[in-house]
Amino acid sequence: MSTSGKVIVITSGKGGVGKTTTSANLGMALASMGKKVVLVDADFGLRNLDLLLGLENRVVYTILDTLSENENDRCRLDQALIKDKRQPNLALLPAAQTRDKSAITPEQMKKVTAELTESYDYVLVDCPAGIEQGFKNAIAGASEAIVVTTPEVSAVRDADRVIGLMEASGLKHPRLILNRLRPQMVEENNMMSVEDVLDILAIKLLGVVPEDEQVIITTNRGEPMVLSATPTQAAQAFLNIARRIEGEEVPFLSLQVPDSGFMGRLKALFRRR
Amino acid sequence: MVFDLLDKLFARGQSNSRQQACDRLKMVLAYDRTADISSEAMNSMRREILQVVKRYFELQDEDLEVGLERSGNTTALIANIPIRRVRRGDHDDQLLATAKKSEEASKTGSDESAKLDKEE
Repeated sequence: MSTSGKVIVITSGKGGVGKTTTSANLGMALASMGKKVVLVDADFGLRNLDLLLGLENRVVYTILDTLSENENDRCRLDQALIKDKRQPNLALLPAAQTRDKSAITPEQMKKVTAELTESYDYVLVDCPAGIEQGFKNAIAGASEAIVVTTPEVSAVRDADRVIGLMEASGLKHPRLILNRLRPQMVEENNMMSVEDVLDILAIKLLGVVPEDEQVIITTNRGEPMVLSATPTQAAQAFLNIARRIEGEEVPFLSLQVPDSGFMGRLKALFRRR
Repeated sequence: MVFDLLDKLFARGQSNSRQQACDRLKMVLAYDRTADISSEAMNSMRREILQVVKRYFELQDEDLEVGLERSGNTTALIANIPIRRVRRGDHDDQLLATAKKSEEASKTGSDESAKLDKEE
């Protein structure tokens, strides 16, 4: 009997910091490493994981349909799962588009994710923003947590809140992904650095992802950036994070500022004009 | 204008919004992290503290101030409890009783050793 899979929740508190992008890319990266991965979209009413994966046209059943009390409306779990055609190791369990976040209970979430661990190595739950019922549902079945934040005051504040709430629920030792870092701004002392954020949040660092235009472009296309034959720095960061999740020790990317010092500032001056 | 240009060329971390961000966050989190205690919990804690203090002190009135005070990065629980005097109660009686017992014990001990001396 193989060891059953892990349920990892990807959360942040603040919206728009990159949870869904992270979930999509980490899921795809782990699947490319040969692991069986299922992505669970827990953002009821504002689902987006399907869009980021380019699977929005294939959504037929959602997680709610697998729990329907009416036997005629209920479907099997495997009927709701959408298998990615580019990467057969990856599947998506879409969220319902209902606005009613109480349509699912934490117990039901626990049951579904537990069932998924029987056939998947990783069950990645994409948590909605906020700390209300949606958040409570998303963390219900998780044994590990990844906190995504950007180096901005509100994002870090909300991340700290979420870390505290999870600890109170027994979900301890979350790991951090610092997203949308701009090394140039850090150099200019206009953005908090990795060290600053780690000092404040005091949790273990899982990875750092730099700001990257490719995120927008690949989202436009519905193709997670880790699939690219020529991964940009951000894509490489996601790939490295996936390896770290698997237990590998991967050195952090050196996010060097392209032109620093006097010459850099001279060039920047002319660029700004 | 020249100075402006020179300033930009030789920037010595003048726009320290990074430091400001860190400082402001630390302050805000010192508050956030302790703000979560509900008012019911505070009240029940206040009552329990009152009970404990009343065992040792007679109180002025049952007015006590218990609250969280923040100063910079640190938060402290401060209690301000006006007292009238130390209470001489069960606690003290117990101490007296044990004190008496050990006195008697040493007395009988010395009596016995005196007896033994005599017998010898």
